[in-house]
Amino acid sequence: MIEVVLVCHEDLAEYFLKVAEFLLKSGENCQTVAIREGERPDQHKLLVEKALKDAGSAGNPILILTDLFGGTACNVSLPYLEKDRVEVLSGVNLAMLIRALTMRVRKPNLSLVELATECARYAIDGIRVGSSMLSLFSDPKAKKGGKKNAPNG
Amino acid sequence: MPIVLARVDERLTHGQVMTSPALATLKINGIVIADGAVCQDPLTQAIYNASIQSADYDIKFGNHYTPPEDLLSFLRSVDREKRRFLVLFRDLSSVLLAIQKGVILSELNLGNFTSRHPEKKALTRGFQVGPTESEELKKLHWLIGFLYFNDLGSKGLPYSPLKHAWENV
Repeated sequence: MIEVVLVCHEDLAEYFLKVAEFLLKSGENCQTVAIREGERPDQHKLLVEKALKDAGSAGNPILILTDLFGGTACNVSLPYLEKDRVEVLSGVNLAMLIRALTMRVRKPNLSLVELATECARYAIDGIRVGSSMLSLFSDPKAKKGGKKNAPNG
Repeated sequence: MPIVLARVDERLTHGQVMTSPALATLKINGIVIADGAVCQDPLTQAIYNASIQSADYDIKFGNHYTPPEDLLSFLRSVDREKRRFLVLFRDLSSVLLAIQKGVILSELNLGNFTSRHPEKKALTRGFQVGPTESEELKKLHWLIGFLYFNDLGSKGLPYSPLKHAWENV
């Protein structure tokens, strides 16, 4: 199974995992790394190295999910990229994390890059501008110039 | 000097810098990373170059890399009329080195630094100095005149001068 490691600023990774576990109603095998202000860059590096070592102890490929592309969490993860072994996906959101945690179990034959691509697609798909969906809620009769309906309830 | 903002940040380019409204406020159009180690590290340069493309603000001339001792030569090699640089130093000794080689700074932004010294003292949440850095700050304060702490935060460029805060370190 593909291992998932969350590398984020401050407590973000831990909270992402906590909420994902709440939603999935299960404890998840997922390492978290907190990149904290007041720590040296070499300390960040050691934290990521330790998480990758723990996650990869069984020889499984590792998907690193990080928050802001260009941020320290991402910058410190990217040097560990390794084809078919370690992949880095930035811009983590809850949808992305949940997809990673569920798809790695549901489709165990997915390659690392396939899982990352699927997680990215799902994460982006979950981003919607609410007002663009207004047309879905409007009453087609009202649009045709018919009589106004009283609001429900 | 085409230096609009000089900053000490041990993480050099990272989220706090790339998302800062100060880049737009100061119309910065290029970033100079004055660091010898990064000059010899193509992977880190590739990461920094990718991140600048996703910055919140269009930095027309992108990233440049030079060792601090060569910063003056680099600045002389560019069209100074058109460049508005943010210069990033990893540590205080790099700033001193650049100044010793002729770079003139009118102010210095103290962003992030964590001393390795066991008796380090936090001047701000992100800036911790030990005795060596304290001495370097004193020298820099004498040479530059205006040092200030700032996280390049939400108000653009809020100056927070903490003059002589390092004297008790």
